[in-house]
Amino acid sequence: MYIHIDYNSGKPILHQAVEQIKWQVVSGKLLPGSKLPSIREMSRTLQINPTTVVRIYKELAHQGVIVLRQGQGAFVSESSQKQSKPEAVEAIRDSVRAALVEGLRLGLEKDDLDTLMNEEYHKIKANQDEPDNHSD
Amino acid sequence: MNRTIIQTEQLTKRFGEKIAVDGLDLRVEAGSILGFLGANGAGKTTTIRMLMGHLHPTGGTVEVLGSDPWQQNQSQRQKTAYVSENMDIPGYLTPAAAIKLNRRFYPDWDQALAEKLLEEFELRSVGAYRSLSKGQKRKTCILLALCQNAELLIMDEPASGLDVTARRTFIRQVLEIACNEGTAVFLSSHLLSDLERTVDRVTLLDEGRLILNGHLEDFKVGIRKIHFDVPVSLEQIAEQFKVIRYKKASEVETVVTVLDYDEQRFDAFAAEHSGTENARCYPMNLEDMFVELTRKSEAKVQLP
Repeated sequence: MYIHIDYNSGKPILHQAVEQIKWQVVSGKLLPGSKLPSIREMSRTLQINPTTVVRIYKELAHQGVIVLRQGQGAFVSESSQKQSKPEAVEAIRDSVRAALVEGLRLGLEKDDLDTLMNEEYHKIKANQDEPDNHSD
Repeated sequence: MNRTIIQTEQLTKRFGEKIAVDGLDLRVEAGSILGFLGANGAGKTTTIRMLMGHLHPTGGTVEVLGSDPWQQNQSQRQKTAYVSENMDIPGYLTPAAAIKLNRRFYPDWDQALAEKLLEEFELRSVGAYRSLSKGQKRKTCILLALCQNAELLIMDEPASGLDVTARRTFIRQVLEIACNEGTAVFLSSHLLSDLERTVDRVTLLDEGRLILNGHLEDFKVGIRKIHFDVPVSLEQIAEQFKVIRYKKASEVETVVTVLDYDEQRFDAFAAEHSGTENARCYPMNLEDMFVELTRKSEAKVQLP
């Protein structure tokens, strides 16, 4: 599992790692049921404090992306779509609206936004694009 | 909650008129790596010497591994390992000979690790300690401290003089120790980019007083430097945020550093004060934070 952390960006390591692991799950790079590295392995690979790894996993578990099984480790949730569709829509409504507002402010029009949405959707499904770690 | 390794309450040390350490409340748990920061003369070394039982506090209490370090007997003291910038071992010993000696002295000595680090630090076939380079001397002292398998590792500028490769090995080994959960690491260093990734907690000392103490990741979430292109008064901004630095950069520019930035609250602030909505907010890494909190040249806002 490849995760890129920019240690000096000032952006919390926790946020960077959570974002990237979530991305790997939605893009299908990490399959449901697959096991994540142990705390120690993750601390070794990323060269970060194990307490930070614990926090990353707790946050992912809290968001329902992974499940923590006592004594066994961390696993990608079998169904990340536990929420009903209307609930899921509500969950992302704010971030979609924020992105739209920003796009409109910068002078984009509905067609541009539709195209963008489509492009990003297909990129994720096609497993091509790496998430942008440097945006904030 | 993990076992408490270090606990101080109102720990104070005076040298004559001068207060070197002023009412320090510290708590370090097993499994934690604490980054102990401060400018030169902030009181770090004095604090460390009290933790080691080398100095007697003027006031307050200090407990290390459950007892007063001043009162500890030899077997209790062996549970604390220590490396400092100025530490030396007898000049006639080679690193390999020093390992042999320490192995007999410390009951929990980790010989496998010693063998591994001898290779990685390239110390196996070097000469007597006095003939070594500064970097090799540091590596020798670090090796001896790490292999002691102590419950508390106190390191005062351990990595100064190490090359990048050796620093990486050192960091990796400190992280391994933290994974064992039984040990606490107390790490004082000016190499803030090293600390950035390894520590979980940071403690910042300024003129003997604690000015920041908590999880580094938590600080990063909230700390922001905000540039306004309009005049903003300290009162206005302090109504919404915890301000740690306020500066009128020019007639129309204001630069503010806050501890608890939050987008929604900032939007609320911008809605009330016209012209502030175009402010730029910058996150800060550990080095930025350190400079921001310890700079002496400007009037500082009283910290919350």
